[in-house]
Amino acid sequence: MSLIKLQGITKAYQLGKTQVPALKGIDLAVERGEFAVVMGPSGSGKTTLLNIIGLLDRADAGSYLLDGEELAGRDFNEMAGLRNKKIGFIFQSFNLIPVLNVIENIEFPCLLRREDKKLLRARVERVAEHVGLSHVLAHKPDELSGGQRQRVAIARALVTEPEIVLADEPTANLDSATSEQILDLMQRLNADSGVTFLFSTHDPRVMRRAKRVVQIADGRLVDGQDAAAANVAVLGAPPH
Amino acid sequence: MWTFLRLALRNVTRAKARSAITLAALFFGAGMSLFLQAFVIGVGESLIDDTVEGRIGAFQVHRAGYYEKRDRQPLALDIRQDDVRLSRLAALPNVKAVTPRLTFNALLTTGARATAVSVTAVDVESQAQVLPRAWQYVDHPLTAQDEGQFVLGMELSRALGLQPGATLMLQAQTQAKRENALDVELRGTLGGANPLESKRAVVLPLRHAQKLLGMDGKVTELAVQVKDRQQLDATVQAARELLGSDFEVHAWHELRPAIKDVTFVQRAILSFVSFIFLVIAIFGVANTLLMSVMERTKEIGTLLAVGMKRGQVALLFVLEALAQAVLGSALGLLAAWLVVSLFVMRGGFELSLGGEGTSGFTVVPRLLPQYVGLVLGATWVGSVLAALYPAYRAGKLRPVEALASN
Ligand SMILES: Nc1ncnc2c1ncn2[C@@H]1O[C@H](COP(=O)(O)OP(=O)(O)O)[C@@H](O)[C@H]1O
Ligand SMILES: [Mg+2]
Repeated sequence: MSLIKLQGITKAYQLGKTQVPALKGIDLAVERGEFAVVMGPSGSGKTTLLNIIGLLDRADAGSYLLDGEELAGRDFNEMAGLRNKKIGFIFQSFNLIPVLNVIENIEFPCLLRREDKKLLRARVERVAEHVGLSHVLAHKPDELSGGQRQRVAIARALVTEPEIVLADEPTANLDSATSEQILDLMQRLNADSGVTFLFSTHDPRVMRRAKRVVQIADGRLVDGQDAAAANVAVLGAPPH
Repeated sequence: MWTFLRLALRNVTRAKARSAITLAALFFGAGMSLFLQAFVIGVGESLIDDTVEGRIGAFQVHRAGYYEKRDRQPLALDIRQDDVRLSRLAALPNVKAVTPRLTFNALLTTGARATAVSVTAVDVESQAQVLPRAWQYVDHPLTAQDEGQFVLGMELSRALGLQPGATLMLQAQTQAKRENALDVELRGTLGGANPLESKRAVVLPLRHAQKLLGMDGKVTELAVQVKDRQQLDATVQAARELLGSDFEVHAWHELRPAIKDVTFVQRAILSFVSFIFLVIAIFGVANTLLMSVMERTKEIGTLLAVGMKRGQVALLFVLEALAQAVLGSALGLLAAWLVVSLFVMRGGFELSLGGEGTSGFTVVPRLLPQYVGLVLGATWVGSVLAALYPAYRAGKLRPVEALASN
């Protein structure tokens, strides 16, 4: 059974009196342990698609199975609970809580679901160490570099042990060296712990590392190509 | 809950300038309200103390029917000072002391001029127990030895151009309805601060008045002081039962309803003023919180993304308002307490109610726990109410839109 199975997902935005179709019928399956990229030009619908998968928004029509469970049409607070339990987010602009320090940011989603703070601390510190933040645990976000902030976001996404981590253009605000480090980290996490990652990007560096690339254009998936073929198609030649 | 409270407190301390403005509004609102309350209570208490301990006592006893006809001051409705029931009155547990008095209208004559005056004849010795403040506005009080001397209201004394030691004639109708007159010597003047008190007041020793009126051993009223004013109603009731239907008993607030009305009106006006202060403070809370919601929209999006529910987002903003209310009102209470304590240490301040020449009376502001509770409660409840709309706005944000904002 696929971790995620989308069928006939459509979404249109209301812009004044006109409807702007953003997704025009998406069928997509994501398997456990994947490290996959949704790629497409700006305005093609990547963010809209990730928002729907991330339960931040609802599709107008279609079916969304997560772990075999139908999630289309859940109410707002149910969606909030499911986001907290099953989904980790990594944002382009990091989106940390400015008044909380590193450790407090990381543990925040767990505190929302009333995990015991004492038991939690050890796990949080382990995750922080895993992403290379052990030396800045007491720092506030504004005392951190961009790369460090994104590591905090990754740790926060992972600490709840989600089914899937969604990252909408995670490297867009980072320089290329830092981007590579962040991608290394996510790749390592994927390889070591089998966490499922789904990115959106138009950054070739991200695509190069993807095991699978899904192309989207104008609200439709272009083709279900495998990674090698996509890399050839997009970049001309595979690396190495 | 601690998760939310911690976040709320951090957010309050984060936006320093804005929190400072909100705190200042709450501080000012709560502080001013508390100080005004303390001041008004002080004024009210002074006015009541002045009446109860300086003028009429806590309650008075008259012959039945006297009170209704009191404007004519009927001497026929008298009380015999040797009535045994009166000694039992003095023995009531909450009764501190009793003093006999005679009140009547008279003519004060100097040379060719005669002026109508309102005389209160007092027993100087027992009055000291009942009305310890009786002489506080008098420059030269009567003593037990001063048989033929009297005290006159300052305005009248000036109008008549009198100096201490001047001899005048006091004319009145005796109890038996014959005209009678006595010489009296001006001892001192009475500079009353209480504008409700008559300007034509004359104070005379009781024995002298009894001689003038032909009322040896008889008076028209007994002024009574109590030990504990909180128990006054019960004591008045006990006195009524003790004295029976020959006498009538009235508490100070029945004798001087105007005093009670004045304090009531003052309290009402200043309560309204404090209410306005609080409303201003609360609008400050609502306004800054609404700005905060706008500015932190993206952050709210993040909170929603990691799984916060609508109600929890709203709760966060309510807690921020409450934290500011608690802190601001606590600071306001501290400031009001300090100012009030300063006045108490200095023995209160002089407040002049009358015109020129009248000495003011001393007001000691006082913070009553129930008013402190009321103001703090109003600040907190008001702030929470003020937070409801901003909190609602925050709680109804949709995560995608919140995340997309800057
Ligand atoms: N809130 C919105 N209101 C109206 N139109 C929107 C909104 N968000 C996205 N769109 C439109 O939907 C389409 C897909 O947008 P988006 O999912 O953000 O694409 P991408 O992330 O690939 O750039 C675009 O045409 C965009 O203009
Ligand atoms: Mg996008």
